[in-house]
Amino acid sequence: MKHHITLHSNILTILCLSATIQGCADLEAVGQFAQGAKALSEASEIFYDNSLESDRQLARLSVDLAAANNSPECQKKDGSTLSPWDCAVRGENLLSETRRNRAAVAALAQYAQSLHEIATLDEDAEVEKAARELSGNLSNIATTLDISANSQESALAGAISNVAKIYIDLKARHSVYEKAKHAQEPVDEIIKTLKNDIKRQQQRISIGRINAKATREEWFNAFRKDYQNPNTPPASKAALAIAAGHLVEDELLDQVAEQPNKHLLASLERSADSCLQAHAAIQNPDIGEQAETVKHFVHDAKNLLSSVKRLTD
Amino acid sequence: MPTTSESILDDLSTIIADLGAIREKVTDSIDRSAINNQIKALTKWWRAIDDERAEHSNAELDEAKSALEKITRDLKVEKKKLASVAVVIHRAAQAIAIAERVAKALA
Repeated sequence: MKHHITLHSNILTILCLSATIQGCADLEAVGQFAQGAKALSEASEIFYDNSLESDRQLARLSVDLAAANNSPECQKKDGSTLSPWDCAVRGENLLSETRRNRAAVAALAQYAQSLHEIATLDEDAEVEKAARELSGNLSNIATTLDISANSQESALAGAISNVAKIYIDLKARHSVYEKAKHAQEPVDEIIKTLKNDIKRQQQRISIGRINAKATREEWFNAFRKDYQNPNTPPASKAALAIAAGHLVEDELLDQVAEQPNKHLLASLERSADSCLQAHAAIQNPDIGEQAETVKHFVHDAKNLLSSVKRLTD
Repeated sequence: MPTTSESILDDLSTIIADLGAIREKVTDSIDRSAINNQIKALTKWWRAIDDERAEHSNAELDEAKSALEKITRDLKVEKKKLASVAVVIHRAAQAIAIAERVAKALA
């Protein structure tokens, strides 16, 4: 009899505990955060590719065949001077930096995915199966020892699986909140770096445009001058006209790309900011109204990714 | 505030942007050409300094990435532990079954 009273009171405790836990914040926000981080990481991959592309354009239009062998901008910090060719094609440092920083943003997405996986850990079926097995075996031993007054196997199985589920749930929540708190500093640093890179890319695009316009205008005028020279043969005139046409086309193409690129960078910056806010929000078990912050991040990151894809298609 | 590669790049890009704005207002072809050449020269410097800047790895970022990767590994271990709860219950069931066989043998 005492055994049954204990069992019933245990089940009651479990039911009460279940009700309390359901009142806590759900872990859906963590899943949303992971979705947003994945979108941000994908978009940043394209962003870093674009940064290298901008640098290549800048390099192409900065080629200076008239520069002296030891021109000052080709000097290194140690006093040595790069050859004119090495100076013109340098870009490895930016390439390495881009790889490093892109990998850091990818690590952020991996981390968010692991948070998501633990938050949505679903072991219910396995736990129930094992609990039924345990309950059946307990019932058998009770019968063998002749201490079973009536059948409580199903209640016992339910109780055990509830306890196990609650344990998993509590541990999962604990891990998510604890790890997210520890991760705040590295996440801050990675987002700070991404924002610095966005700022640098904004500058690169801006000065790249101004420089391209200046360079093309100078080349155009040089072509024009030669074209108008009465000694220029017709075939050379045709070649000059074709080359000048390409300059004009490239300039207009750049003008078309300017606005979408600026829009993309602004959108990436917005997503980076909302990523930080969302990460701070998911550390709070009583997320409440802050759940909106996470939703904003997902919204920003998804918009960002779709505009990135439109731009690159 | 100490002068850093970043601050030089910021200053240079401001000057280039200013020159770009002035150029748009200049109609004299010689003046315009002079401004264009200034822009080209400054842009070359900007790129050279940007290259120098990118040469040095960012220790804070490397540390942040390693810390995040460690947390990710910890989370994976935690997930494995949680997934083994069913295994623990199953082992308990097997222990009870053995106990029952022992009890039967003794009866």
